[in-house]
Amino acid sequence: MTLALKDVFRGLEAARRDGVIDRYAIGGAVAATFYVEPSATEDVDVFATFRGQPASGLLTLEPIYRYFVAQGARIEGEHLVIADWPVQFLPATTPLVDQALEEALRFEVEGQPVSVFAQEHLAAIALETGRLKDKVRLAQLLQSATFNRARFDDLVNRHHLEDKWSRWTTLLKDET
Amino acid sequence: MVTLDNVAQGRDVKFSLPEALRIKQEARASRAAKPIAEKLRTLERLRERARTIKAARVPASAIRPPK
Repeated sequence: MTLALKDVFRGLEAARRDGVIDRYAIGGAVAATFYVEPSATEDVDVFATFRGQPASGLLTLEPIYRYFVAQGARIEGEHLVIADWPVQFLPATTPLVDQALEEALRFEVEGQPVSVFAQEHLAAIALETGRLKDKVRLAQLLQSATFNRARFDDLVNRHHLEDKWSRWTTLLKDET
Repeated sequence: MVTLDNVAQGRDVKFSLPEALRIKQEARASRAAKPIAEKLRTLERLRERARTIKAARVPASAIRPPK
């Protein structure tokens, strides 16, 4: 059985090799699937730093869209559709995401390399973002047998997420 | 113990919430421990199913109250 996501990973690796993106890592639900049980998602979140990214943070995704469209992708709203998967490119806009990109892990899926956020970074980003689905993901990751709690605690402190963490643990006091 | 077999046989069953939660947690851990490619295929199946359900949904505008 084919795995369309492998084509997405292949495209990202090629874009990095060709210098269209500097660094990238898969985030969101697809990244969480590397560590916990799969949960439904409609798109692939790709966090990336781009070639010539201005210090102001204002950047255009036009070169990356043009690159992937030339490879056969199509544009649908804010997504690039690659191998039938809507892919959303997200620039690194917080120090936490920047660190997560710097320390992303390399995996191989049936021979195809791909960069993925470490689960402790995914958890910290979920805490930082704070939507309902992020809270659910955070709960799942915290229960993962391979989750490094000390590393997560360090991220919470380093990125000043103590208040959010305190509110989250209060919310789930009877469950954790 | 609540099992399909026990229920089908009409045996008395006892339901234990901690036991049910433990079984659920074990099942979740077992799904999480599967090879990554297998989990990604499950993710693609889940997405396909969600799309099918979405496509089959009757738009609210098509629902008429009974006369």
